[in-house]
Amino acid sequence: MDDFVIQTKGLSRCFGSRTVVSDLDLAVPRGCIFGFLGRNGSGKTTTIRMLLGLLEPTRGVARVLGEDSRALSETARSRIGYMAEGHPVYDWMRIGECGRFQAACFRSWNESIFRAVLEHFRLGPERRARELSRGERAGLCLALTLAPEPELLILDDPALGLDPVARRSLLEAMIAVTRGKDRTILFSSHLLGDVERVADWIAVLDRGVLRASCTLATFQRRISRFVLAWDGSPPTDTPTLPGLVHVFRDGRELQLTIANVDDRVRAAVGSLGASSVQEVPIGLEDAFIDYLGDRGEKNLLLPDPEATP
Amino acid sequence: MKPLFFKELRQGLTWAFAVLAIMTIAAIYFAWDVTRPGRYVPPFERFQQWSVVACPLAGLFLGVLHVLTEKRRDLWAFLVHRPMSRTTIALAKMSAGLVLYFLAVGLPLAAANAWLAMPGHVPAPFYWPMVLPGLADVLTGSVYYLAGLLVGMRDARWYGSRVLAVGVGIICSVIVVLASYFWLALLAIIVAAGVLGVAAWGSFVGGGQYGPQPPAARAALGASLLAGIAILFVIGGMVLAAIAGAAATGPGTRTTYRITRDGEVVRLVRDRWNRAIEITNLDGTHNRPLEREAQESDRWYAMFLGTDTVVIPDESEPDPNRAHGYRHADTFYRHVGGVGQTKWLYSFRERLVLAFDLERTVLVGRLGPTEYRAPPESPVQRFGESIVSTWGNVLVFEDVVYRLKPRERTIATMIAPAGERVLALTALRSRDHNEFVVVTDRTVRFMTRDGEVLAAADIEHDLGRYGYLQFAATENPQRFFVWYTPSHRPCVEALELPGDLIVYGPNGALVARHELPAIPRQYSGSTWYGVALGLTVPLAAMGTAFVVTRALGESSFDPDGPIRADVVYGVMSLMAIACAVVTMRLARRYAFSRGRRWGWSVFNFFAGPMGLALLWCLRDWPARLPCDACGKKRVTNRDRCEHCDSAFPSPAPDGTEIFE
Repeated sequence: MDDFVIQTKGLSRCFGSRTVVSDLDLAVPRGCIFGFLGRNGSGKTTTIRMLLGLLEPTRGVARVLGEDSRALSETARSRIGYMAEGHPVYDWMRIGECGRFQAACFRSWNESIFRAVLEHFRLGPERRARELSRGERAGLCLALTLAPEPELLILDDPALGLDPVARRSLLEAMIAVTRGKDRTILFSSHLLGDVERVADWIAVLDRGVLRASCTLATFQRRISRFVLAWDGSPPTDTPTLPGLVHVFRDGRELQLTIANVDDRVRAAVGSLGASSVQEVPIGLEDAFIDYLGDRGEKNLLLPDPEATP
Repeated sequence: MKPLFFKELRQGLTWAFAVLAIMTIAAIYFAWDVTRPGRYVPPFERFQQWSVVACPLAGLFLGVLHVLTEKRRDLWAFLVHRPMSRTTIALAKMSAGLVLYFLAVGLPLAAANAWLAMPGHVPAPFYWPMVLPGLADVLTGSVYYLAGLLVGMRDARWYGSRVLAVGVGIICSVIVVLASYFWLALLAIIVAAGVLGVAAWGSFVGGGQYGPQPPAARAALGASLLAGIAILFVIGGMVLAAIAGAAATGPGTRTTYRITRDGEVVRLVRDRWNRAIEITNLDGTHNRPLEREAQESDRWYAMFLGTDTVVIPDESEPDPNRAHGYRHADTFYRHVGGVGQTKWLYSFRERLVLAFDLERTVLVGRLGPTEYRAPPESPVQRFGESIVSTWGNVLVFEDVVYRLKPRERTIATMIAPAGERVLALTALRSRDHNEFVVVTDRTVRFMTRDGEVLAAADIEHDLGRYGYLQFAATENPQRFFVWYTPSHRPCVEALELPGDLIVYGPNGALVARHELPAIPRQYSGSTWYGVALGLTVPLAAMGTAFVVTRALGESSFDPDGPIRADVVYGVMSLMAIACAVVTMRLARRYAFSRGRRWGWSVFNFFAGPMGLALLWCLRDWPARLPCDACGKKRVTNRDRCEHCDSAFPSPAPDGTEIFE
């Protein structure tokens, strides 16, 4: 049995001359909850659609459950649960009909899971899909995706547009049903709290390029924050430092978020001429936000109002 | 497949109901239209006018909607990501869609036909083969349904190219309408539906893209698009030809022979605006009085006798005297005439004349050659098998000509020429349609309505060589004109024959005879027509036409015709070479494989600009970006540069990468 349920090699997708996913080498370990992160337009959905054979890659290959994504067999598809962005269901169907339709199409169907998820979201079988709120729709989609008991669950921004309660509810249901059954979940999101709560492995896409793929612990360990203070005004140019992901000026202080800090980087930070240099702990959410921001560029560098020209 | 089929059925039900409602309302309207009291509207033809348009529109509408309502990205993903092959999903979709289409369109049409079949509803007979045109239209609509699916499915860079697939439906409709036999129409429908069905399936399997499709589906998609492109090129060619005609600097005149009201034969030259510019006698001298008269009057044509033309039937046709076609009312009955509220129709099936009351829309009687009977009775004796034509109240059979007398409800024999075969009959407009000409294989007779022969003359020429006969008559002096007119009908070369205009006096005495030399044809703009044709028609089409016309024993180009063969072939050859070269360059630029490069180039050598248009519409065209290694532009969908074989560079690391 492979250690990875998803593996891509040089996976790329262009729309015209715009490269949306570039040379993606991704490996999703079996049994993990894999958070697929990136800002809007970073290529998450395009990647997922290529993984499921819904979109032809421009270059490269993707193997999902050991099969080429462009020609997934019926068996492979039955082992993959997919919840698409926007929670699509047929509006004209009743909830019960949705279940029966899905059950008839899939070889395995766990009615108790379906009912449990519906109950969790307090959904009755007679209600029409078009009458459901966003959260309820998400619940119905999750029930439809989980009931076939897929080995690999791919969720494209499942919490998109949901309020915090519905989001929490969705995550609880997802975890409750899938945890401890050697299932792999790949879910894309830009809601960092969700990722922090459930993921144990993450990948970060930045404008189509894979910048990180590691466990949460590694990610947190490899991101550091320094607070530098000057007696006078700090330098106006963005410091040139390897691994610099975020710069923030606060009066006479510069706050630097840096990836992959080592002694060389620490020395470089120390040579910036600050009167004090402090390495401060950084929370996961801050690390995410800084990492997903416009890296290596000024984020908010305003001139010091007290500084003399 | 079953749950998917029922889901598709359920999903399309709303739209199918909408179509059913519209079709039902239309059926009721047409039923009302053909039964309005005191007004005869041929029901068979009227219902066809509806079905021939409504069925394709309904099919296209349902087909496009069946995909577009689900093509929104995520719903589409929800549909296709299930443990079923795309083929199964496509089949479920197509079969459910077709069932809905047939119900929505077929039910109203079936009801309309059943209603037509019930006696007393319309003032015309009903025979079951009359349902075949409607059936053909319903089946044609299914071709449009598949075209609609394809239009909705295909992800084309140029949005307009999606619509090209409807071209198959249009060509199918033309064949269905023009076909003589139902089986021929059915064959066209099966072929068209097959091509579009495979193309729609392929687009479904390939997710709307060309690249992932199976080879058969690619070929079917190519054929579908080519049909649409061909239609656009025909229209474009016609526009070019019209522009070429307008820009022509040639003489633009037309010369014909005419008979004056005094019985003289003259040569008339008209310009392109149909003005008489020269009138000469047969000896070549100008006829000044007539020229003056023609220039002073806007109605110059009133100076000449109107002639009536009889087309000599082509003996090689199975039944040359009847309009063939399962859609033609003439296959079943022909209008003979009517008086007051009674409409008389000759039924080919019953070989009787049927009388219908337009007020009550019921059959009131049947008339045979010897007697009239009211229903349910029927005359014992029926008319002969071989009807030639009808003219007003006159029925022409090969052995006898009858005149119907509607008021008396009787039929009288006008003429029954023993040992002769009647070929044609026409009424003389120069005698206000009160006198007739009956043409047999031996004799031409000028006759009154009552059967009195005013003049008779032997047939002087082999009619098959001429194709047309023209007639005219004058009252004072009483003259009868028989004009053997060469036509292109037997063959183009027949136009070189001289015409023979014979003038007879009363009782057929020969008065004069004029040999009318063939007029050299003058066409304007022949070079530009040739250019227009050469630019738009591909070598393959012309080659096919060439082979077919040669096989039929005809020349492809009339050397004196409106189109110059040397110009056509020259321009066409240049276009073929240019298209092949452009294709080769395109194929190189987009890194086609060697086989595809040569295959497309050879194809476009023969298919010309149509092939180029097809290539452009059919394929996915990847973007081209400069190669980091060699600097030349390379396609984005190849792993390695087609020029220097270098791989695409990996994204440059920026030091922020975090990998386990």
